[in-house]
Amino acid sequence: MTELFQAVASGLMVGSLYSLIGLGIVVIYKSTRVFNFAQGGLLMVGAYLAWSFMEQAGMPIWLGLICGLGSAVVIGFLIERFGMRRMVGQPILALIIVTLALQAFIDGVVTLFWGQNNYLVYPKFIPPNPVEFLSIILSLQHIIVFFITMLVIGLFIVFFHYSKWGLDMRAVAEDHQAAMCMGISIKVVFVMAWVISAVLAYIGGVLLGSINGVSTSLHQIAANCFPVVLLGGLESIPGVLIAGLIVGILEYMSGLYLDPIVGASTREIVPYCILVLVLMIKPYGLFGLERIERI
Amino acid sequence: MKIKRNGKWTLFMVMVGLCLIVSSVGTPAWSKDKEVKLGVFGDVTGPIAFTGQQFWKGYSDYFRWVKKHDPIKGITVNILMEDTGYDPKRYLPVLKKFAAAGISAGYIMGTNGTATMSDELRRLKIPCVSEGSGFPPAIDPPGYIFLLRPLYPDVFAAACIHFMEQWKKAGHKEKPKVMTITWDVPYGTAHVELGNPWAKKYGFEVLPTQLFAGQPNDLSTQLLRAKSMGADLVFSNILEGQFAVLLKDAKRLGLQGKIQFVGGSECRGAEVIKLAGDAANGAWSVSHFVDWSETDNKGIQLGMKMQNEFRGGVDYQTQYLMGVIPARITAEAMRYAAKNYGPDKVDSAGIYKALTTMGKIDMLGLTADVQYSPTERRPFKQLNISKCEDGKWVKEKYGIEVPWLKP
Amino acid sequence: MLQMNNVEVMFNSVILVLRGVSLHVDPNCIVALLGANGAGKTTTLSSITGLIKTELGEVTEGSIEFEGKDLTRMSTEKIAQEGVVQVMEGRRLFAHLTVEENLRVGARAKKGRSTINEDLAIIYGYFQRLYSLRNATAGYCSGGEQQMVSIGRALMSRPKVILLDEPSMGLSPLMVAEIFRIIKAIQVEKKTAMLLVEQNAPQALDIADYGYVMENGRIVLDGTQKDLKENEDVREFYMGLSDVGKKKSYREVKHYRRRKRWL
Repeated sequence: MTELFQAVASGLMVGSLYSLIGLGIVVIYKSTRVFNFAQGGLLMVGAYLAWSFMEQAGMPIWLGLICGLGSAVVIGFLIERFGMRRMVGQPILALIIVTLALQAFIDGVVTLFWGQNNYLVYPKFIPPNPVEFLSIILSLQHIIVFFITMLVIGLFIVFFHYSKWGLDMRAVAEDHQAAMCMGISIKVVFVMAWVISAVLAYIGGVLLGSINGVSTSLHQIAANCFPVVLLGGLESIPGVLIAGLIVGILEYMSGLYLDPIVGASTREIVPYCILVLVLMIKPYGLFGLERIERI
Repeated sequence: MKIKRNGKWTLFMVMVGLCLIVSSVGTPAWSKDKEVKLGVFGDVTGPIAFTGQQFWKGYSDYFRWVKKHDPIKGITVNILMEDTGYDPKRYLPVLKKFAAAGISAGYIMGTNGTATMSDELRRLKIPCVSEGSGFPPAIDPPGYIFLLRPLYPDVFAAACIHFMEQWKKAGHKEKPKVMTITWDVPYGTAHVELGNPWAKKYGFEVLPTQLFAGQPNDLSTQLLRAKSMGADLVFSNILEGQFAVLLKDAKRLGLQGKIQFVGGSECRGAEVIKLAGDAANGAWSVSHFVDWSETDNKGIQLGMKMQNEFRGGVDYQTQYLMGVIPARITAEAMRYAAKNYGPDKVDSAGIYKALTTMGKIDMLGLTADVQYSPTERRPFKQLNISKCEDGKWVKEKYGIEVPWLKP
Repeated sequence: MLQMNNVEVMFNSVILVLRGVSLHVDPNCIVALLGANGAGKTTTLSSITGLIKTELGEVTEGSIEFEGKDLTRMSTEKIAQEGVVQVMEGRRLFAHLTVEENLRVGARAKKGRSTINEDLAIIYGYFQRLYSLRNATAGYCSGGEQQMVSIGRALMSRPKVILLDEPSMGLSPLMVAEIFRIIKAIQVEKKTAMLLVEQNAPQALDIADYGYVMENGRIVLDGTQKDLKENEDVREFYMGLSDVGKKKSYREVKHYRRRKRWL
């Protein structure tokens, strides 16, 4: 029983990160219809930047984190302004390929600037002390990471549903032309989507980096987020939150129960298997927005 | 119109000039030495990028050192390096390119490279030293792959032998239980097939292998299974970043000190300590080379000198040392070939002949003395175990004789 | 107030859709733009609000002016903020937003002080049915309700001109009458000018002050409400009316067609 609880707890922690990173993909998809394959790259570059500010520039932790956040905002802005905006009006496939290219580009840049110093470690700002709770042993790090991601996602949901800009984003998500007619600047919304996405990726990157160190393998986590995003329904924010947690838990459960039977690591396959099953039953994903069509 | 044509002509002349300059640089007419090309299949990106980069630094630095302080008479060494990214699809094209460029010997950084290229190397007859000890068919029958350590089952065996010794010393009567928690790739699981039956015979109770994929974020489930099955020894043939996660999670679950964790040679790095902190204390790593802490060792002293000279300071990366070893072996073989067969004969055939017949190669104490033979591609039988203590890898036991397991 | 002078619009740099359209909308009056399918009515509206740019169209000739400002160079959202709002064909609600959220989005084009709550009250005054639906998902409302939201959404920014594209499309006659009644009421009470594109000519001419007839990307006829209602061509071809008892012959139709082409 303890093993099960431990698997669920570990799954929740990793799953919350999936949700956070997946949310970035969803935000961009919702407003611009582009599936951003470069989310992992954004995450990685954010984690490296935060390290550079804290360790190389010698800033205090809080200042380094804020500077990292600032540069994430700038990166999101630059990508939209000089990468994606030029592509507006082009076929959607071209835009998606641009994000793939972006991922390769970020990979290269990171290797160029930090490649020599792999496995970087942040100054300890989240203590790794173990915490025992009902026979489950968790690290304080994991608990804090879980709550921070939940907080960030919560803040984003509030922003999205109750603020003026959130309303703009939702309107643009529905209908670009109609939104323009209502006086909403699509360009501003696109920039906003990319900036928010970059910030979410940055937070994810720093949290992930604080657990396991910063390395070029950080962006691999994004590959696990793609099934999460699809499972949640691609456009749904509650969807991606819940799908992230589900996938996280199932990954660890499969590690616990399936691996000994199969005799190989099933962790990476399980999310995709679930995805296929769910999409067969619910083609729009768990919480996908069905197209409202009145007959 | 006329101006345009002039422009074109100028451009043409400049191009011709550039071509001439480039070609003259390529083949220095003033040097009488024979140029020997070495090819490095550099896994400097991809999943083992960090390890591969350190290998490359050590390898290339050693040749710079040789050129500057101890040149091989009659030959100049030219090292070609191509990024292969630990991606099986990329080795053969690079090998083709290298073969066309006329390399005489090579250096392979991992099991993926060994496995994909061993047949082609036999055909091309280019000897390569290789870190990838996870593919026994490459040396059986003996071919053109020269391993830098015994096969991975022996690495596992070394851990078992030393642990058994400690176990008996502590007065335990029951059988110790050994479990493998490893990365689900050929490299990670290379020791299981041969190692597990051997360990059983040697007196261990062997528990089922636990696998994980990629860069893990949390290894609780695997560790909890080790705990519930009562493992005493956990062996992992994995990379530094992964080993650090394993040790950190083990500490969190209260297993540090209760289970002996042992990593393969790639686990013996400064990064493990940096990433895992206190959690690394007490962990072992099996490898074929000595630790940076052995300051009396001539090889270590050389490593420090090299790093001071070329890198502006010592950073104690163990994998840097691992890169020095193949460079040393290759350089010594070339030196032997140049001396005994003449500089003109330092080509792939000459180096192959030297490697198989020259006898013992002095490794300056970095590892046991290397000796290949016409029928054997494993360098030595001795392996070293180091222990992590207070943020440093130190000697636990060196020179453990291993059984040379082979399928 | 709003003027189009000899506007030509081309799509994809090859397809000429508008071939020199001139019209003007005076403050506080309803102008109807009539015409058959494909005459270029919607394109006329889209060229005013700049939406053609999103469909690879551009104004190649002529000018569009609103209160002395050139609209051809402005972006759609800027034009909306200037007070020219288009109610697009097919309603185009934000389907997954609630009715009230849709209306709130409409207020984004308003410059200056926020008057959302007042405006909401006004709109619920005109469209009482929407008040009870305000928390319903807009996509699931009936066609008439959606049209109400669509018009209400445009009103939220207190525009000076509303460009209405086929408000009667797909609605029952009763609902059409209701919508047109409200449109007239808005114009009278809010002093908002409107450019009304309609296929339903009788209804449109009932509330319009002035009208234009389009065919093949050109304005072929214009006049006051009274003129147009009495024009025999308009009566015959757009209103389906003809003098009682008079026999309609195919030749006359052809004659009309020929004449219009020639114009």
